[in-house]
Amino acid sequence: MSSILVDNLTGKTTAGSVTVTSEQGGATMQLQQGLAKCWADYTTAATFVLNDSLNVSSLDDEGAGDCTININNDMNSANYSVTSNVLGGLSGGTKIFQNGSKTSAAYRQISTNSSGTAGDIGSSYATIHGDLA
Amino acid sequence: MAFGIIKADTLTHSTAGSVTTDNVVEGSAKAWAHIGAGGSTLPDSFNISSLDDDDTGQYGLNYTNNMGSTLYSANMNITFNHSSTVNNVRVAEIESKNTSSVEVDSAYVNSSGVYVELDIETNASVTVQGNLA
Repeated sequence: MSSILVDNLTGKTTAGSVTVTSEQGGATMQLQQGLAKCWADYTTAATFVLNDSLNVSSLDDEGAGDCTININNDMNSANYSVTSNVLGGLSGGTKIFQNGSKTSAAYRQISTNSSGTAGDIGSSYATIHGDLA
Repeated sequence: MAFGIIKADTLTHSTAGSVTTDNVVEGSAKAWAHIGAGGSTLPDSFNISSLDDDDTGQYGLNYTNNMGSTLYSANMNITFNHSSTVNNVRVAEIESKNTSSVEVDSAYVNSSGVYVELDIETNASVTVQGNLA
């Protein structure tokens, strides 16, 4: 029997730290630190649509291609990693980057064409890694 | 079995389904970093031992526990306060990868479409997924 039926994993010594062994067995890592804490697949158009997500409460339409993603359970600080990508093309190729400052409760990203003009895009993606509050 | 260690191939939640533990390990990020302004500080990170400021807009992130090979995924994003002025596109790229580090670059695209390396103005994010050694 090698299955565990469980709803919660909590570290025995430290509640927020469960250690797992690496793929090749040469190292251990903390499970919680490796898990994505938030991700979003959304469309920017006349109406912004949250296609699928984890730990996202809502989207704010800040303008063409410019979207604030509100985090449901907040991050511990603004010192987290958010990486992004897009599906769909603007003139000269689409760029996407975090717009303005990140906060523990939200992040904002914008898609632009190669000249920096913001524009709506078919699908935008973002994933957060870091520490939850 | 040592006290405090569980060996299992599958984790099953009461309602949300099952996941094999190899997918938990392989699906977890193996490193992430929030790089501060100027690329000289690392306010928060996971599995990163140090940050190298190699040149203007060029940085190296050194892993604490190395990756198993160079065949892994690395992504980077830049935080920038987008405006409608010139030189308002930011680009993040992975310059090179090896098992012990990843080299990343930040840049802007000028009005002639030329890619110009630029120190990180606000902050940047990097996430690594793949197999640890």
